[in-house]
Amino acid sequence: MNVVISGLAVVSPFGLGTGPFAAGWRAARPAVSPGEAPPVARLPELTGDDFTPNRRVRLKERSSALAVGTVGALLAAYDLGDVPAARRGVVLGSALASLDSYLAVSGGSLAGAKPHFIDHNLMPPGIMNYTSSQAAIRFDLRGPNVTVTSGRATGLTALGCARRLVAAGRADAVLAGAFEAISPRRLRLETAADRAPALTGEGCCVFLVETAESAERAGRRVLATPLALTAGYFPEPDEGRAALHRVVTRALRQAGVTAGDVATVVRGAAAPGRYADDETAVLADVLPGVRVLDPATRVGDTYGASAAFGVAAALVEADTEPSAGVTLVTSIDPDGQVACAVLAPGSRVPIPVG
Amino acid sequence: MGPVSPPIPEAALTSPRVLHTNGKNWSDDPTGRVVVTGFGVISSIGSGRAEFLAGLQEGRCGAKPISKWDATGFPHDHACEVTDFDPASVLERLDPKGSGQVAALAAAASRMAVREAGLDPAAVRDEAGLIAVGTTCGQSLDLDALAEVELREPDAVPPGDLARLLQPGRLATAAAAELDLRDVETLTIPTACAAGNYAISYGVDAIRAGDAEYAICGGADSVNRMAFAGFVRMGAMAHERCRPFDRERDGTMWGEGAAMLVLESLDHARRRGAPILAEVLGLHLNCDADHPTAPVRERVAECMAGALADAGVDAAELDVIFAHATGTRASDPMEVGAIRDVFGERPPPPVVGVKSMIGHTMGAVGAHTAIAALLAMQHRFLPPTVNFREPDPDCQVDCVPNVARPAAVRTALVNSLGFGGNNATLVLRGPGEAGPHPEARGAEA
Repeated sequence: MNVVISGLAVVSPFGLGTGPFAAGWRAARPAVSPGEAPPVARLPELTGDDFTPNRRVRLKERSSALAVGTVGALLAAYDLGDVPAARRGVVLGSALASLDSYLAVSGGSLAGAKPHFIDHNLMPPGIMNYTSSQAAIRFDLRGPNVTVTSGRATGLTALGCARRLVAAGRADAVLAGAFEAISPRRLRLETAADRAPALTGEGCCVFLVETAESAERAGRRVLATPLALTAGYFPEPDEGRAALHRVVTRALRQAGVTAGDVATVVRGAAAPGRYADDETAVLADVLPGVRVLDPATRVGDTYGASAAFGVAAALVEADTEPSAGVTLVTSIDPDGQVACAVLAPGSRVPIPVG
Repeated sequence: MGPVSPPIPEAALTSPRVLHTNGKNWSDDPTGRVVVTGFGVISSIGSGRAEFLAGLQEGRCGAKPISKWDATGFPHDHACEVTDFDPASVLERLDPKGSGQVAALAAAASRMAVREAGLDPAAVRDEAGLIAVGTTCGQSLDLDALAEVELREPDAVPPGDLARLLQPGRLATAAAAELDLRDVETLTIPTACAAGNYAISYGVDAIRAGDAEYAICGGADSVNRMAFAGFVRMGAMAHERCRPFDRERDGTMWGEGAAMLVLESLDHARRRGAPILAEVLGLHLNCDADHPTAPVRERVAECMAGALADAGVDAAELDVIFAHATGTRASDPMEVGAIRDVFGERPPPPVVGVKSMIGHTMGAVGAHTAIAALLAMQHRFLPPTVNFREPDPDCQVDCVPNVARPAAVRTALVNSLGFGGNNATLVLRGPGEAGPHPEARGAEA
């Protein structure tokens, strides 16, 4: 069974929607918010908890608002009327998930006159499946509803999970993606963990995943076909390079492609640091001379959404360079997750702009 | 570590008709049939196979005042914490102090699971594997520690050792580190209180798809300030005991623990001569898409019916239903109603609520309950619903009140429902005789 990506919605520091992302990506310039230190790339039109690309989303957790808004943008751009509600699934994730709401409740309990005198509206957002379930509630998505988290690799994990749900017949269409928001606490924690990137970013990418047959029936263009998705783990920092090497070579083998078939790699390590160096070394070894693109230099480092931005960038690239070959997306996280996707380009019709 | 169970005759695992929703008949394909070959369990009523089994058979209740953090000031303070188990006692590689407390539980349960399954991680290091850990609150105890740091110094940069522990993905990576695995996909599945069943489902599909040769799946959670304060605030927390189906039930009770299962294809299990505890015959995942906290009976019934269809099992074949049975006022009657919707005019089998014993272990509870089902199959008994005093006309089921009951258990259904309307149901089949339900059934209904 051929499972494909047939839809894309993005909110990024380039703007709310796939159009601004594609335009910003092609312009290849960094989206830096003015006057902030450390450097950040924020969503320009997302203020507070509001998100209004198509319909108003007001949620207590900023990351949830931007993710549910992106799901709404996808559904506005693609008519899923052919798919019954019970057959529409959701797979969403981020690296830090409900961190800020969790701490608002836990901290509120510590600081309040009584430990249970908390804002009970903050509790649901403090549970990590809040975003996925809110997407289901707002858009009547009654199929499997999965929340996943695997650090920087979360976007590829979500894509793999969606692909399997469709292949197993558990859903006909799955909205899969990853998100991360900028918050003061995230910046503090990244500094504390010695993981502060050169430019911190935020955003969300959601993909529509279905069978090729289903896409064709509905007249939805295939944007890309995941030929392979591999994942691995390394327990010690000095094993990161070997672990990434293994998932990249395994992905190529599983996809049945050679290094010569690969036109572009969208890389995912946070820079600067040893893992960015590892990624550079692995790509130079396995795919010498290949064109390497780095979303973090344009939308900033989006942490749990970084691999999803890798896929989104690959889709835009395939759209820009129709004759281009296979695209690789790689990811490596200091916590030990490594992952790789091999994407074959889709058919030649412009991506609907949502 | 408990004794390794005897292998089950393969004939006992043969299902007469296993048709899945995607049309593939897995029963003819040993690589597509997924079996459980071991488990590790940490709970307030006992950790490890022998103690957890004894806890279920004796109907122990893990409720006691919270001791791991200061619950002073709450109107009531009971939960089912694990107070007699140290992860360090089973961990071989992972330093529990450096991993985060919930991650250490997940890793310890994973270690116990591979031991019981006779699965030497070194022997499968070159095979593609999967570790999926369900959770509701992730590294909750460390997040609570951060909340205390922030209370003292709101905008200060916290200690690096703490900042590096907080990612929920670490529940799965800690298990991979403990087992010294490399070619393994690791992910945490924070699908709230349905997460344990979601993690098992993820493993089943990964094995069937050929993406993993083996999968170590389940869940882990600790009783934490966020979830406790939130539920006390909502009036959904039991004061002293969790009493599913009881007329005077007053809420659920958080529990702590971890439960991890080793899943592999029947073919893989046979090749290495593994003990086969049960087969995951079918599953269903759906979402109410309605209300964050009020479950929808129709969707829950659809989830159970979907799992039965996926398993190719008629409802009449079920020997027991392990209900979600949180013990809250609204949820128990809703679930009983959904069960009746599935069974129609026919009487359902006994409906057990293990949360009365182990507490609501959140993202682990689906996996804890699946393990209870495996033990019920192997040791031929129905675990009880303890703390039961008086039937509720709105919850008329045989809940096996207070005392475990001898019974042949071959086919079991496990419900797991979560915040946000997430539902996940598993159908498990173990060894044993097919046929009529145990005679005792219905006596107390």
